[in-house]
Amino acid sequence: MNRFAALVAALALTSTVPGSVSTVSAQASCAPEERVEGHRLLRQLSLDLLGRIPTVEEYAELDASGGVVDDAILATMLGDDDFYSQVRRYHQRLVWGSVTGLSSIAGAQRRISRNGDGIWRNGNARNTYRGRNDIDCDDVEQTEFDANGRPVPLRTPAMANCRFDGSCRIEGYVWVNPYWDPSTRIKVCAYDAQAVAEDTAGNSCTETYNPSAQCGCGPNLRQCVQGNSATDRAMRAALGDEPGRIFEHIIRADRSYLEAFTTRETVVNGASAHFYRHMSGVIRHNTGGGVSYEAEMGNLRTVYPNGFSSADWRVVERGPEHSGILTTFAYMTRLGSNRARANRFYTAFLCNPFVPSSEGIPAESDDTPDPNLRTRAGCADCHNVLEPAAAHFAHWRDNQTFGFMDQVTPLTPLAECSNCGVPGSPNCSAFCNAYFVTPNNSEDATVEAAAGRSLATVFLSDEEAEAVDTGPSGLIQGNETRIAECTARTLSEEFLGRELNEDELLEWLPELRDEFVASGYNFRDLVRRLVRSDIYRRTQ
Amino acid sequence: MRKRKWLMGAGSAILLLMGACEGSIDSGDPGPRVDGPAPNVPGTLPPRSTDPIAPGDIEPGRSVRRMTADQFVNSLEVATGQRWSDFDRFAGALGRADLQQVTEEGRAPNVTFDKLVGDAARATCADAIEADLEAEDRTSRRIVHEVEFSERAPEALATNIQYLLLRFLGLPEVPVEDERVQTWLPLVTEGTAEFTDAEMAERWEAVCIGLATHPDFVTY
Repeated sequence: MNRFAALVAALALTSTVPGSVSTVSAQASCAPEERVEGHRLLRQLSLDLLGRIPTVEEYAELDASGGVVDDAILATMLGDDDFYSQVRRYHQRLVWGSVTGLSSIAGAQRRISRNGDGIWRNGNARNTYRGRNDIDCDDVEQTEFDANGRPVPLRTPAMANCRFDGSCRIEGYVWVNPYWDPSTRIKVCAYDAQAVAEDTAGNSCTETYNPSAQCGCGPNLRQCVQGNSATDRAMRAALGDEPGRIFEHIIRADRSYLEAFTTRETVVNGASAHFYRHMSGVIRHNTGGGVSYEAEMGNLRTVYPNGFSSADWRVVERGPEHSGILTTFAYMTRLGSNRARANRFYTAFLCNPFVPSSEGIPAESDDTPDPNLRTRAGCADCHNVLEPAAAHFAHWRDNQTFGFMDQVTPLTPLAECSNCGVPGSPNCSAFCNAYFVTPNNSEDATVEAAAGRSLATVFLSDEEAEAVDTGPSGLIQGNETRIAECTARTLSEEFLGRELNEDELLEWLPELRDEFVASGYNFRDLVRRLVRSDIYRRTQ
Repeated sequence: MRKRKWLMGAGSAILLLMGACEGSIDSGDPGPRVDGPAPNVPGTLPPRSTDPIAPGDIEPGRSVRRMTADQFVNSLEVATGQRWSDFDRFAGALGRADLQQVTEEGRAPNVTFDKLVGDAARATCADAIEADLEAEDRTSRRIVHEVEFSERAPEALATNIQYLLLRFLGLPEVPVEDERVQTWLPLVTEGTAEFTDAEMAERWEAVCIGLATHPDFVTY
């Protein structure tokens, strides 16, 4: 028998053998009830809890315990790193934790790439540095610098459209050991490689993003990245993992599951720490265009001194405005609006998705629709609840940017946004138009009543508007039991591979919920109870 | 052609295994409908409002399911000791959620999954046998673990089949005379008396592929 024939013969066996394991399973799957024990239960548990089949050694341990999956085996599983890998993935799915949708972690102002001579530079900053957007540095090493360490141009040719009094200014390159691989040395245009601390106005060049020509990518290019490079992807992957890591951190320590939504702690590795330390922050809160990231990361600098490539995950205490996974970069940028953020929370953790009335959404009957979605026909079904919930995120930037804005208050208009965009006044900034009531984003009546107020609170009562300062953690308050019930339900359905039926919703789920609450919202205890249950150990 | 037929057959087997016993579904009653989030009253969670039909008469207990993409590739690694090098490339096609466009892990036993399971099994089993051939001692081998490649005695070969049934499918101590052993045995006994060890290795590779693509391996 040749090799192919042997393969085919083997493969053909798999679906035709009478009395084979497939037949056994098929019979089992059609039986109304079959209690799963021993090796089969271990396999089922291993796949659900560890994400893989058991090893031969684990089967041997089962045999040594008399073929019974006892508490000791279960405890081993619930302490295994593979279990926490599953915990992370499960919660990543719940929060849609991913930032792969961003084309790059950095705004265009921070992206560098190699030119035809193999010299790294920021293509979008060529006009800023050299006076025209098609001029790179020369392929000559830069040796002359001024007293502040800035490169002195090698030449200043008079060329069309050069913005420095009709001239451009062209520098050479310098050698840099980049942060993503300090063992290598690369050529970088000298303006782009600037590592000076401040611009001439005294603004920092290294603490926050500063688009000035007097600033560069900083020491080791730490404030820049090549778009969609391995370095960029490593930062995005680490930031995408952050919510799942927070859940893992809480669950490993057997702390209350609710803390995952309220804790100031987060978990970072070298890549995400690098991002937060060197690539976030803006020099002005109303910087328009590009991607702005700014959030108080607390003791990150002291907790995480390691390099970019470190895979060591460490816990960091963030600023007081943070609320567990709800204020992570991934949650905020994946869910680009306050409504999307509230909606995901309601769907994933309250099991209360927003759906329209069973009568459907009525056609618009008025030429000037009611701007208040809480009362507008067809919108009120969802928005009457969604708007106050979304207000918990009003302090946070939206539209794929990330940061806490202390300019937002529940009721007080922001001066710079309350008197703009009308004759005799300055134009409204992009910042005002994005987050506050202005003539550019609201009806006349709304502007008249609430110019400069946070858009998130315009149609909220004064009491509801307090959600702004309560922050995302306020979504937990009063919902603890419901979160417990939803968590128990979602996890049950994950492990059972089906939705709970009405009997289970009315009888079994409340028991699980109450036990979960009584355990102090201990997630591992919930898992333990679930996999010990008769329902889990019966197979259809 | 025969290979393709098998693929269809195996795909059908998985589909039948997973789809035939889901319980009857009453599509006549649309079930309760939720208008906006329900009040925060514990114990009142309704059936999933995104479900277009009512739950039906599902028996209590767990449903047999297809492995997710991650479960499959991780399990294949446990069984063969080899990581499928193309996994990242095909993870999406195997059903792995990217959490951008797709937010649920795919568990549909579709033809694409079936095809890629075959690809993964062929690649990893070939690597596993190669590693076994290079292993210094038998105990560190993953596939040909209980016997030497030079072994031709049916009784001895059967012990390795027993070992593989445990390793891949979690079946403990299947008697040698059991059909589940006897069915695989001819692959390594028939016509192999004059085989070289290299040819025998191909037979073990075939057994490995057969087990890794078996419906009972990819479901639980």
